[in-house]
Amino acid sequence: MESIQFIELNAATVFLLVLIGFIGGMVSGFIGSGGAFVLTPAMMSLGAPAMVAVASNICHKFPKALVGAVKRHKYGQVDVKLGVILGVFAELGMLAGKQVMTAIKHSFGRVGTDLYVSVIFIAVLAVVGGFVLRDYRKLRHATQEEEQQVPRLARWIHSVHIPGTMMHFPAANARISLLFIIPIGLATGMLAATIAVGGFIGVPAMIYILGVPAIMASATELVIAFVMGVGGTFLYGLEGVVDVRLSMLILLGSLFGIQLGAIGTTYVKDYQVKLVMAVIMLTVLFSRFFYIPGYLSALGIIAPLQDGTVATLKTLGDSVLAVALILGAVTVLTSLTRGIAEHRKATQSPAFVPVAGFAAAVAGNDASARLERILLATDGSEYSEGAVRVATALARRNNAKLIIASVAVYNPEYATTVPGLKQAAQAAAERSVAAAAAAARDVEHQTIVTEADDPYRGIVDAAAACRADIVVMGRRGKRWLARAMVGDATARVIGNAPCNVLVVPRGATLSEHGIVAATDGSRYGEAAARAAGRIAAASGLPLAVVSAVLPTHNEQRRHEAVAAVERVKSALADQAVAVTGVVAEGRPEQVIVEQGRKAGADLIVVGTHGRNGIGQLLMGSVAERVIGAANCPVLAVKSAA
Amino acid sequence: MERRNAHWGKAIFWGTITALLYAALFWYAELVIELARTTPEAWWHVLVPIGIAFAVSYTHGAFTGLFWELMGLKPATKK
Repeated sequence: MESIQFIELNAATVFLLVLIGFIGGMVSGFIGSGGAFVLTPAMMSLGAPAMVAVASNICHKFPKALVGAVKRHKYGQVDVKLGVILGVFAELGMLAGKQVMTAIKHSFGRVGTDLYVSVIFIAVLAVVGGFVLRDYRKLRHATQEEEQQVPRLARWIHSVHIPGTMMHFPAANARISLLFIIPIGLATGMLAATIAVGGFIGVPAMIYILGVPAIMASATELVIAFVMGVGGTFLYGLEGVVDVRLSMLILLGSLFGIQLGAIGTTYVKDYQVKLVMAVIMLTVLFSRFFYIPGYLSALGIIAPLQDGTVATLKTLGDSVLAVALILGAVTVLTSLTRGIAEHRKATQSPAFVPVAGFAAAVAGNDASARLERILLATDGSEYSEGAVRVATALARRNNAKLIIASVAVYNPEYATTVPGLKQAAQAAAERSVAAAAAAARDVEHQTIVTEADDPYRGIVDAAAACRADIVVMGRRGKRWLARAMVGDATARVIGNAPCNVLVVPRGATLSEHGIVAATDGSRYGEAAARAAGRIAAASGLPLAVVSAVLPTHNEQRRHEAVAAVERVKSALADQAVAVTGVVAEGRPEQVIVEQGRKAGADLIVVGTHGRNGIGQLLMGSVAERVIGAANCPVLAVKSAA
Repeated sequence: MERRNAHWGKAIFWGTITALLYAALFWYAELVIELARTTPEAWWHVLVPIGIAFAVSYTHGAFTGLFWELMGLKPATKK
């Protein structure tokens, strides 16, 4: 048996690996599918044996898949049951695929596995590349989005009932026999063990055979990729072929590239992406042809070739591969720079000129500031109903412009390999803005659809782009624990938006009975109380200023709470506002919500540090908990300081 | 401006941790390669690359996200 060697790393190979990772990542972020079809052959061209290239590629991918799966699970796009079952059988498929590789390695040595991987690569790229090319032609001539239908094959599979094997899968919204699931899992695993790209089988199979919507198929594939990736790394690790140095060098470049490529897709048309994808796939395929005579000659299948001929063919193959990579990189960078330039031009048009006195009436230090631009973020669900109602009412009363935004949420990395994924997400977002626009037809409004892999990012970007004075949005009915663990779009918008955020629960209205402001004596609390005072003055509503103390707090802390409330009261003394002060014992969020209920208030104003991510998990956030518990709208005020 | 500064702070934090992880990986490259050669008795060696992959993905992923944001690159907002 031939022992597999890891390649020597010097400055040049390290640089090349990071560069290949970057370009591969960029191409994969742009055209989808994880980019392994670029990375595996590129590593092989640098001298890594096929098994090491595949194993190291799998090892760099699975933690990325986990992060993606957790992220998309939040949006309900992952069918965990389907993912785990497919993942487990894919694992078995992987075992089988690896056995095949090991058997070939034992019988024919490294050249044998190199030939095997190359042949499978060519076959798979030819089929998938062909499909992508067909999709490109279809998309290019498509004038209208076709309604997504359950494919005929999937409808038949749903109708088959084999007793004892049936299981319900939420993603397909049907009971499906495990006997159909198992072969898909096995095939996905076998392909992944061979070329490190299992998704080429898994995703289309879920869509066309199981009838899973494209958006859920690509999300569920991440679970499979993770289960398979950990297992695959483990199995190849036992074989001693995982070169974690290669994996991490590829990862170093690929994480930079993947995000750049993903951003690039938002600046080009769908069919352009498909075309680039097909061209790169077919070029990579073409490059593998040059290696095959060398492998065949080494195995004695064809007449021995001269060393010079083999070397020339290999150089030709490497050159074609390099051309494919450079082509991809240039396309992504060109579309990115061109797109950004066009986008800048568009956003600098008069429609986007910032309003004078950016700070709005609800927050600014400038008393004459007005509420001129209200950004309504809607996802079209029942959770946005309150936000639509309140934002429309606010716009009407303040004669403000309503900007209705919805985010087409999808992972650009998968969007291009999955037919209709991007269109489905966009269509859903279009429907959301259209529904809200219908509700707001009597006020001046504009609609925006942004694209992002995370809803909060899309909302924050839209708020920044249109210089919103305030963001109005709903909240999901998630429990606190779940929120603390997975984060929440609302909390993240509050943390990152350039303006204040009004969070409106589903059934809430602004009926205007009174306002509650919470202060803890900090500058954030004071800013919230000042903002609440301005709203109270402008609307003539009574204001209750609340501060909470915990049972464990000492006298000094209690005095401070009283002093904080008094400070706000005296600051508002010269304004015609009916202010009452309350210092109550209990957890801050309970005290604030309870006082709001007692006072019949229909608006709670809280300050926010704008902490997010780890900071929020560690420190907790009263503002977030108030938002989670309140039944009335909550205005999260950002401190100007 | 405050938010941008906060992002710089976070980016530097995650960037530094990532750089340290990479430095450690290559400083101990020989040990890592040695560990990659698993034997039936030392099968647990396979957990080493898995652990490294998780750690680096997490810190480097956090860093690159912030990096591009700080560079001003964001997805397009479409009408």
